[in-house]
Amino acid sequence: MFDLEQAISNWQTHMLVAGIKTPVPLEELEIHLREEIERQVKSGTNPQQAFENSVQQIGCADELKTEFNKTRDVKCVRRRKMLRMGVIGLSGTLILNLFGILVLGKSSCIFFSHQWWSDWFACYCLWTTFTVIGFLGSANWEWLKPTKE
Amino acid sequence: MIRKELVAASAEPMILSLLAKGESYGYAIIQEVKARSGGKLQWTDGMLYPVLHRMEHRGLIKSRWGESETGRKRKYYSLKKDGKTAMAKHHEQWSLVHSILAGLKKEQYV
Repeated sequence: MFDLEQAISNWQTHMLVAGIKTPVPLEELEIHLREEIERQVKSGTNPQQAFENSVQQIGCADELKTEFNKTRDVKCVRRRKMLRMGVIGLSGTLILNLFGILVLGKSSCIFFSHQWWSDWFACYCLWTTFTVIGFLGSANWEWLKPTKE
Repeated sequence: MIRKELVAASAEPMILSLLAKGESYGYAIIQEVKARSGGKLQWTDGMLYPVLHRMEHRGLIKSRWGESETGRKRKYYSLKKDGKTAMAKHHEQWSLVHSILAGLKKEQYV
């Protein structure tokens, strides 16, 4: 006697062994599998046949794993991009400081004297405002959310 | 049956255009594509999910867990602002390809 729940459980185990370890994709695939089985059973196919057809339609575990791994690559690219931006920012700061010390002969701490604030405060405020507006306008806040996978 | 390469290339614009009509979930997206193409455009069902996940990570679409009318858990996807922009670009590019092909075909019969 065919046990559909047992068959689905075995399929899940097979997927896990094949490397689809993250819960969200597997859960989504299982929901999809159940919906397709239900549709086929309603249209007259016996549960065992419906299960076999649906598993075949979902695709083989190795191919799915390869495709899901590409999603991980997208995440890595974004992290590398952020890291690169950080490195560029830090390098820029260091270069400016070195320029101040070596070329102008002044330490960067001079920029925080009373004279500097009175001369440059308005410009600094304006620059900060535009930077914040630009950042808010272009930021993709998704990276602040916890990763679901 | 449509070639595998074309099926893969059309997946993203197809998903974006379907989601532009309103939020949907994986199974419904597959069924709608099958119905609209008369079964000629066939995805391996499972392959849709990695594509959806990649699009979500790229900020084109977003997802939320919900429930079906029967209480079954479902993950619904919907379009984001960047997704709308991407969809417009896809439409523009596919229209251009289509117009070039249509023009060339027309010339063959002149």
